[in-house]
Amino acid sequence: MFKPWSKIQWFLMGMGVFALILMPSFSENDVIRKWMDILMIAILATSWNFIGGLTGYPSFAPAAFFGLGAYITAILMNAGFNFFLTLAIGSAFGGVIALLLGIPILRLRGHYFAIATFGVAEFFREMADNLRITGGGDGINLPQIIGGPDYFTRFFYFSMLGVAVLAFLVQYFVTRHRLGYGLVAIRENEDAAAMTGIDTTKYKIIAFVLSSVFPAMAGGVYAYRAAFLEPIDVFDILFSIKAIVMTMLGGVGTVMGPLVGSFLMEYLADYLWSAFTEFHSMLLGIIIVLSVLFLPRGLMHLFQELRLKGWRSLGAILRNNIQRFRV
Amino acid sequence: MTTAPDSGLNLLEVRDLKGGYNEVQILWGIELEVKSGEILAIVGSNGVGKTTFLRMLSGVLPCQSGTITFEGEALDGIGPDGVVARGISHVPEGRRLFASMSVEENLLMGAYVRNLTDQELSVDLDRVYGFFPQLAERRGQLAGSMSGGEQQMCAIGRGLMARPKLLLIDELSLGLAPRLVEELCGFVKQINEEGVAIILVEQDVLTAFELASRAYVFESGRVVMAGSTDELLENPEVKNAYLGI
Repeated sequence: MFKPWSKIQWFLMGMGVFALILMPSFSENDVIRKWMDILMIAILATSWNFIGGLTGYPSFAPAAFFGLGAYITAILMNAGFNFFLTLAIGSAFGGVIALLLGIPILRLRGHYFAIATFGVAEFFREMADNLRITGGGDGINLPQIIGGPDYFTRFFYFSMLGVAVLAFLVQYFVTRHRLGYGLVAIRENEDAAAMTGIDTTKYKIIAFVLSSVFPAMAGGVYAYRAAFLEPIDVFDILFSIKAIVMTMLGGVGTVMGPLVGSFLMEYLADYLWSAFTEFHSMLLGIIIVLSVLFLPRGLMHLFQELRLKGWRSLGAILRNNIQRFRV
Repeated sequence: MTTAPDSGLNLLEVRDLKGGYNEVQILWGIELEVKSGEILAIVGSNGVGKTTFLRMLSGVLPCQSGTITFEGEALDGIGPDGVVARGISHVPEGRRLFASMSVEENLLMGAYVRNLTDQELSVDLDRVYGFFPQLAERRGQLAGSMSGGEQQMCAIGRGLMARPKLLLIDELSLGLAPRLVEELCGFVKQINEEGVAIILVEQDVLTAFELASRAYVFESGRVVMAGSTDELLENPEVKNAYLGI
């Protein structure tokens, strides 16, 4: 299922990260900002993969923890805390909240779980809207970062890159560890997983906590960069939906899927926007529908199948996928 | 297996076990024992609580009242993982393999709670492949892509990887061709000869009685008859209700 990466795979991954590290040295700020957004979505998608992809529990909670992390950074930085310290506190707090929430809502399965996690994001947004400490509906200001645009664009870019690399590494090691097998067993058959002796409740909670700490960190970076937060901005359900769509398109339950999905879709969306400004949303929608039809398990699964069966079987695989819908 | 009645310690003792799903009570006071090394059959028609009983034994379903004692110790509140660690493993109805994992990965999942080294694992894998040579040939294949009989072997193999003292098999023969059932019965006997006690839940009474030395007949969540399979085979009620003779 999950084979350890070969040296070549690690080398290519290393080259990719190296390229992302070098990129700001010879790029304009708007390109760097674009990549910062891609990395942010990639963090959310990778995190969603823990609970949604590996464990099979469709969560709409990424937005909730993204917003939570954003507000914690805002509140703590206003109290004079160091930025990086607020990220650590935010993710730890997000993890604890996920643990407490996970105990009741991970008893639910399927659609009911999805609805409950949807509720979590709404609940947090209402809290932020009404509490004094969050500034309520008026929003909250953060201290401005000192330095010019060239400096702070790079500062936030590298912060986001750091979180993304961390999230990726944790995901890699979880999937190659017995924990990952336990999570997949729950996805495949929760009863059978329990019968083989997996403490399913504990494992689901671990997955939910893992899927919450990194969005909280990304939220913190987002907050400092935005310098001003409104509840409706950061508890936006679109963050959750993007995380899910990117993972589904890239490949559910694979470590590369969320990354590939985020890179491709963000670039595709960008390209469509510039090339077909009037109807770019429609085109993007059509592409998403087509890929769900032809690649229901995402690009990475297609690659795996092609590697097994050879490139010539591409047509057969696509036909096979679409035929599942012909009842 | 021939075991003299009441000789030695019971491996498993169930006393006045009651339970079900939420408000729906299914089991109404089950009394049952398993002696070490025996094959015990539980028979009865659909919906009499056989599967529910196994699920309560393996801790997947909590009991309302009553006691389950395994090797002299109560199995209360230790959860399914605790039960597996004590030495009871459950081969669920309908196989329930992990479809996107390979055969070997499914087997390894069976040893999940035991935290073994790779070397110990390969010893146990070889033992399972010894019982089921077909699985060895298909070790890299995805479990979901095998035939029903092979999936049943894989499910039993997964159960064995926990090194159980008691193996619970729910519907060994379900949906399988008679020739395959016969083959699987042979495997079950072999496993039993290595000292693993087995509870076999079956709707196919003849198959069950052929394997088991003793049997319990369930009806509406109660044990209505119990005894050696030879005796039960002669019982007119059993003949009438379950054998259609």
